[in-house]
Amino acid sequence: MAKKAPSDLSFETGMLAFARSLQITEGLFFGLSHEDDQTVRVPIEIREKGVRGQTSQDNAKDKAGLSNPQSVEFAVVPQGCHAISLEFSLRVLPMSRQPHACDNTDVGSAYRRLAAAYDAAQGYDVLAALYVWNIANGRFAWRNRFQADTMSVMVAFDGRTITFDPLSLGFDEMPDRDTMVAAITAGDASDYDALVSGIARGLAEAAFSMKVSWVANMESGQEVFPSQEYVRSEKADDALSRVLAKLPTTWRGRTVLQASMHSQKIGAALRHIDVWHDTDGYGAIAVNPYGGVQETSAVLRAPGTKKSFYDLRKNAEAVLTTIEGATAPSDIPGEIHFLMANLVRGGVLGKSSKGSDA
Amino acid sequence: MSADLTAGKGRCHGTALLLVRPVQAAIELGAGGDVVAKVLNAVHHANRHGNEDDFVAVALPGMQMTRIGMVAGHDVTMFGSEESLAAVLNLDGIKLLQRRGMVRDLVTEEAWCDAGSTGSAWVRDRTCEKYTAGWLRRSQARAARRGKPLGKLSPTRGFPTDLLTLTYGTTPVHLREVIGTVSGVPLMVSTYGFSSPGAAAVLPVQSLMAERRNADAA
Repeated sequence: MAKKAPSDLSFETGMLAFARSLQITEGLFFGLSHEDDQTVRVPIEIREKGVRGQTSQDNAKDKAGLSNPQSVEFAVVPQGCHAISLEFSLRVLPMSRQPHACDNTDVGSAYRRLAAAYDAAQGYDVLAALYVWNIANGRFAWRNRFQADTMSVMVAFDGRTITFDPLSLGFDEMPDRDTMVAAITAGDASDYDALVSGIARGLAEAAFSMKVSWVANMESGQEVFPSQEYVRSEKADDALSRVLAKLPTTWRGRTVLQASMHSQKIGAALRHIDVWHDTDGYGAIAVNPYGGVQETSAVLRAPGTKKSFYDLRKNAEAVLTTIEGATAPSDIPGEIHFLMANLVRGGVLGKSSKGSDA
Repeated sequence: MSADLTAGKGRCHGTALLLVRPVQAAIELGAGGDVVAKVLNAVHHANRHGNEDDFVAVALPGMQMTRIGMVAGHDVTMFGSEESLAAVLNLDGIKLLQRRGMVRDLVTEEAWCDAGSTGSAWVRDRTCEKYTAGWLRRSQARAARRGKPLGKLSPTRGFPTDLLTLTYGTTPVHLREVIGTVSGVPLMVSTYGFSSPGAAAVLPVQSLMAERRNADAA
């Protein structure tokens, strides 16, 4: 079959990649204590302990049910500390404005038109507000988010500081601006607006940075849940059955391994902004081309649903017509927000070579 | 063990039920297991501090075999009287789950344990605690201590893979789901809220395992 000539209005080509627009540092866990009326940040150390487990996996055969001594890593709130913090920095970059790599100039131009029109219709403001919601609600703390009764999220940017009460914000639906402002415990509505517009500006124009810290009151000795390392079998240490994420740091003259949260895991939490999947029983899910929810193995935008990123971008002409006709965020349909959120996420988005026109 | 605490089996009235289900976000953020553990501990606490004529029974309708072994699932259904379930709801552990927004609305409903209807029992299976290396060692030591012959020792047995291991503090509790018919006889459960293999307390719950078995049969 003869290959079709590439259309001027296509989002599909064999080689296409977008750089991620949200650059996130590794998150670091600290215990907080008071010394001489000063708050001291103590790195939370990853330690090792031995436990006598029991072989319980399926098809364990002759080892089934036998004692299975193993060593695991763990992290707890250090003695003398009354709270913990999880801290990271976030740099927002305008990487969705054009492909990072593309083998077709027409396709590259089409993506630039899409991003420019999306910016003109203030679409990035919508994404920015959603990202702020996921910073303010503390989702990035993952399981730790449910281990305390009092907590706060502090965001420092452009000489301003704003603090939210995460417990007054839900996870399922994006609250309106009034609710977000009501969740502010330090700072005011102008700080909130500045944060949203700063992120929108970062996505659309120039880099924007902020520091985020989640602080929760917890008891000394209470378990903390850093990221868990995926250890490839060839690198596996048979003596250690659970390996936690950690980074070396120096604390009071000695090197300690500080508990950390992977930047990818923080990023996955922040991009829980897909509120356009239209599937009952699910609130916001992480933006991914197929709308997968790893924890429940559900796929909300499977190819058959015609809602995946790859399905939606097939209609380049309709998408561009719609977005170039939009003058306000309310004119932008959810599918286009989803398309753009995927470009902000970044990744390799080339069309499969099977049947590729490029 | 304190003499003030209730021990052994008690009767579950089964006239009311309470489903505890984590919110989707708690599951997605990795805290689903925390909810189940907290509820199971609350039931144990309530039964230990309650009356043996009014125990709370527990069902784990989402219990299933996965790649990593048997898992409890995310839902816990409690059966009891309205009073016993209210006592569980009043415990700190449950209030903490509500305070942190980890569970959906907790509403006590009326339950019907009609004889003849299908359901499942969650039984504590202690057979796997025997014929382990430790059990054999303890048996030998006991026999030597008493000066009695031990008799022929069986080799250690394998661990049944259809058991779920729960941990209460340092105590492991091995559970098996038994699909059966609600009999109408009084439901007798332990302080953990589970029955025993010899007297399975079948609760009127359509479990995931039963659904799968029905689908396979169809």
